Amino acid sequence: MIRFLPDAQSPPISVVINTLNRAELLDDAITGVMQLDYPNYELVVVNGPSTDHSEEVLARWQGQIKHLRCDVPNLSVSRNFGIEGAVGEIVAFLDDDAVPHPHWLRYLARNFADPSIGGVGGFTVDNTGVRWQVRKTVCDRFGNANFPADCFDERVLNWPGTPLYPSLLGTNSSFRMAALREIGGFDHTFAYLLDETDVCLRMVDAGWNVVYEPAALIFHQFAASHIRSSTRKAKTLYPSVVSKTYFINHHGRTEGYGKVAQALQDYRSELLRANAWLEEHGEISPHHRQALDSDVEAGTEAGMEASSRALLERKTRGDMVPEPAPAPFLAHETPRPLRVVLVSQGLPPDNEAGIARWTMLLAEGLRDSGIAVHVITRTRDLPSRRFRDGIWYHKVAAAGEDADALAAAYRVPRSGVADWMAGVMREIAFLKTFGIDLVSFPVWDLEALPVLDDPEVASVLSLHTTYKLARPFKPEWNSRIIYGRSFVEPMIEAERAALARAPHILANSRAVIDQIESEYGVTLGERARIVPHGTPDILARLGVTLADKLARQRKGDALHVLFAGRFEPRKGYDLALRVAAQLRSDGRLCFDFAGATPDAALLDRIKAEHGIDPAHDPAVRFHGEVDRAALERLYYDADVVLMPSRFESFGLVAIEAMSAATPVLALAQGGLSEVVEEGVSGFLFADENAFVKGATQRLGALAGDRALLGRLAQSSHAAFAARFSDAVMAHDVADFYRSILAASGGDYD
Amino acid sequence: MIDPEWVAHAAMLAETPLAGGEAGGLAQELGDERELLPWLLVTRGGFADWPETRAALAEAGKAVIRPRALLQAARSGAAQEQREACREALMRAITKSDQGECSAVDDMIRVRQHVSRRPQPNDFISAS
Repeated sequence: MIRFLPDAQSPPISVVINTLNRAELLDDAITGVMQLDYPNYELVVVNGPSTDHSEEVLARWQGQIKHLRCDVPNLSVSRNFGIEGAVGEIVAFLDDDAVPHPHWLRYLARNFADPSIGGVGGFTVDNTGVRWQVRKTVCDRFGNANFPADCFDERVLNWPGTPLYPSLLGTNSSFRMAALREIGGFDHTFAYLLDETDVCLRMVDAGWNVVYEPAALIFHQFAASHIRSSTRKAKTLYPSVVSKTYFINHHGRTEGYGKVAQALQDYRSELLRANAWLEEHGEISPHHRQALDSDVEAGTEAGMEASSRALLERKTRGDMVPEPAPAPFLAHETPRPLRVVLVSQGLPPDNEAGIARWTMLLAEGLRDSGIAVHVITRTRDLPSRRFRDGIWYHKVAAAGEDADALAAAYRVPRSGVADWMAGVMREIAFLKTFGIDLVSFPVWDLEALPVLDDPEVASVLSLHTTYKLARPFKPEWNSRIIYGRSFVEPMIEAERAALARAPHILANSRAVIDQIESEYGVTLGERARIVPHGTPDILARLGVTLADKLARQRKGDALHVLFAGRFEPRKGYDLALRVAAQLRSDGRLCFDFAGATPDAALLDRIKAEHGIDPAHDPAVRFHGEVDRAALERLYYDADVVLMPSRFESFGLVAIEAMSAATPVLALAQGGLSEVVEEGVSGFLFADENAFVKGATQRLGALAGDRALLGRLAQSSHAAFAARFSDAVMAHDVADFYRSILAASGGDYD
Repeated sequence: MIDPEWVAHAAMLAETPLAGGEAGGLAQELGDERELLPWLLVTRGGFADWPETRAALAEAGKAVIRPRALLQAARSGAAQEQREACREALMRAITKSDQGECSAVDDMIRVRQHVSRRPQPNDFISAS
């Protein structure tokens, strides 16, 4: 079989989503459809009767989708509305809690090149994203399902009157419009369950072929619904029992009346037995069981009545009434989005470290720029793949079995580096089936190093702290000789090799480029692009305004000075303590230290060296490790932030402070001299002594000049908005990615 | 097909001998041995000199299953049997797959990502 149909021969497809009270997941389902790689498709969403904010979600997509409404909670009615509003040659159904693989339609469409094919279904992945929910399904005329192996050729079952036929799963099914019209679409008796099975059977009985396409993937979440809970326990059995009873009576007659009676009895007994089991095992309450048992009785009666009526009326068609003049095809016009992969072992909220937080902010910003984003991160438990808020999250495990080869090829430590690298590369192999364009990975741990040698995707190495840059501040790496020799030194050599040959490098400051060129003896030159870090606006996140902060400062309360960082020499915490020690008796100022909990030995040293007793000094408070919300509040409450880092490749704390309209006093080291603008967003000091002396003087002056403090607050926030917002960062990184791909001949949105 | 000689012999016993070649034609026309007795009695007035025998045979002839009904029933039964056989054969093919007789092929599908130049998305989903 051909891989994909040429664009010109690809039939127009209408994707139909039928939704009911799934507003939280609906947006992702629509976003997933909008990221499909197919030349000719429209999206029809039939909503209702929803009582949540689904209509608000749909309003956001106005003009890009066909938005229809259904007044009854009946899936077949809703599906027929969708078909009636669709004008594609093919209609593909997707659930509102599902997301398609980008090539879903291409894989489905290639099967429709055969004019005898009436229906094509794909394989469906469960809510873990890594295991199957359903592959091939073959049903009998009583609606009972069998699950053959992938190698079973379902085409042998496609003949009218067949006792067994391929049955597609509703969330991953597609049908030829002509075939749907011929059989009258869906039968409204199937309000829930077996609706698509009935269509498949009637299609096969009408002479059409129904087949499976294993590569057409849907990722299904199994959200709760009005029928079932998220753990798949039935809230009601009534619609299911009506459907099944009707199906058995309606289609089972071909097999003989005796078998129909037996099938009905078996089904009923099985349900009652299951309800009893669930109650006995505490899964449902006695009251719930009683309700479910009543559903079985009432549903059986209603199903029998419906099938008798269908028999008398000689019903063989569905209930669709073709719309004489449906709205024209609303083609999805946006070109294929640029699709990028970001790699980071950690991610917020579990990990708020620099790379993790930067990766998350970048992912969200790129998403908002219309780029399809995948984030590969390390799982703490089981692997999973999820599409959430418009971003794919791939939680993968280290792949020890593939680690030896990578450790040998790239001369990196096997444990902790090559094994994780192998897990990442496995996922990248999967993501190539999505059509990824670019992989960006951090220099720290070189998480996707082999991608540098992969001609199929572009790669970007992002600069952060490296092993070599960190080594001077990690005395234990030198004292632990075996660790140093077997881990740190090979990593530094691997970093050097990667820096020497990475085709594209993303740096957040000129300082880090200079430092790396100097330390590693490599030239990054034209390969490197500087895009400063970005961060969200803390004022906006806290729901306050700049005017609120200025008003508070004008009251003349004590000047709040904040140090945020770990108590390690690189961060210059000792310099901040020296400043605090000099000013702690000045009642106009108070100091906050946040980011790490000092141990008893450190507290003793602080007391001995700086005369500060945290337990008894009201002007100096140690907050220890704080969560993100508390930290943002501290940034806002602060009037000045001290950042005497001896080296920072960038200086994230500085821009976070600026986003809270808080100026920064910093050492003119590393990236800080590029971030902090003298007299605009703070003040820079040439060396450590100059910092202690200068910061002490500045703080004293600011404590007495609230007008100057206010001006600095305003200009700090303005500088943040212009240069360091997350939106600016994402825009500039996206521009970098696009320039890389444009140079290689790509054409992306 | 009935044996023409048997037809001729039976006709003689019923005292309704057949003309030359007639036995062959009749054997073909009736097609079922059970059709001969009613034919000899009704059409040829056989056993005319043995009224008691004729009456008994006539009664017996009524009890014989009519070949057309028999044929219909046979066809229906055969269809049902064949349908059941077909269904069972298909089920065997499906459950054979379930029981691992296709596992070699399935394993091949699963490991295709390692050997294919262009893996498919489904190669990366765990079947276990």
